[in-house]
Amino acid sequence: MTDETLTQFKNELNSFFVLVILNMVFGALAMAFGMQFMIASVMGLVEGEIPLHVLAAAISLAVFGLGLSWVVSSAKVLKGVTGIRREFSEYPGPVPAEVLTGWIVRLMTHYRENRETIRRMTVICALGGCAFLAVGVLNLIQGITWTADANASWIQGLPFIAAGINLAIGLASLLFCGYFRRYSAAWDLRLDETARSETILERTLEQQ
Amino acid sequence: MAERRTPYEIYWEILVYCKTPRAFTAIINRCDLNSRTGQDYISFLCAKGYLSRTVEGEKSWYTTTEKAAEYLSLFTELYQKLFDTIPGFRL
Repeated sequence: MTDETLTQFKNELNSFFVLVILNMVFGALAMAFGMQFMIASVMGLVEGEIPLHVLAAAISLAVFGLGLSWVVSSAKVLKGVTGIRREFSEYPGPVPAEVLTGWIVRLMTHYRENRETIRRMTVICALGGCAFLAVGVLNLIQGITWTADANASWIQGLPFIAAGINLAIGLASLLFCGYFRRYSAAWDLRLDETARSETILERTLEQQ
Repeated sequence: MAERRTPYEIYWEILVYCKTPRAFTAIINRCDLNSRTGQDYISFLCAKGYLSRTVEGEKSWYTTTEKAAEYLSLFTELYQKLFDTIPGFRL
């Protein structure tokens, strides 16, 4: 059982690590885009259309805040996983059953501690994905509007590139949201299993 | 950190750590317990016969007994079985 469990444990640990790292990257991008749009909106105030620019700045500020909470939540979750992952990768030779069980217990503890953060990340990830999709759609509209101009140059096609990037990040974020859901569901099931295991362990202790 | 572990997980950690004789302070440090709760867990395991206590001068050493083997193997089996359920994605 140990070899099979070890392979499964390794795959899960690595996948979750990559998932959280990618979330940090996307969170940082959301912060950067939020800041960029906020500065552009504030600078646009001098050109008039004040209510529109104030609204854009407020939305950008919200996106920046979303990105910040995305990064902070990811970092919190990542902290526990990196320690176990490092020990796992640095372990010399075959892993004995009790060492593997020790890592499983630590991962279980980590999930219990971060259950709410991981659930929150599912929501943040979905919100972030929707924000990127919305910006991507805006870029598309902007690109279509600009290319409709008879005097359009190649520079006016740049919003299409931005749309492609934003739509890809948005779709990836929604996909990751699904992954977080699956991860949470698997770990909730494991916690339920642990509760059942406790009954068996308690019975074993009472028999002695 | 300790409150996030179940008592059964703490019993398991103590028993695995004490496969070689250990002092009380080493156990509570390694298992991240305070001395009061550490004493409770160790006393429980000694009462069950899972831990034996050897006194050498002023120091006490705790060692896991053969009697704990069943609990340890059952715990390992149950916890490794948890990975039968997989999230179903790979990155």
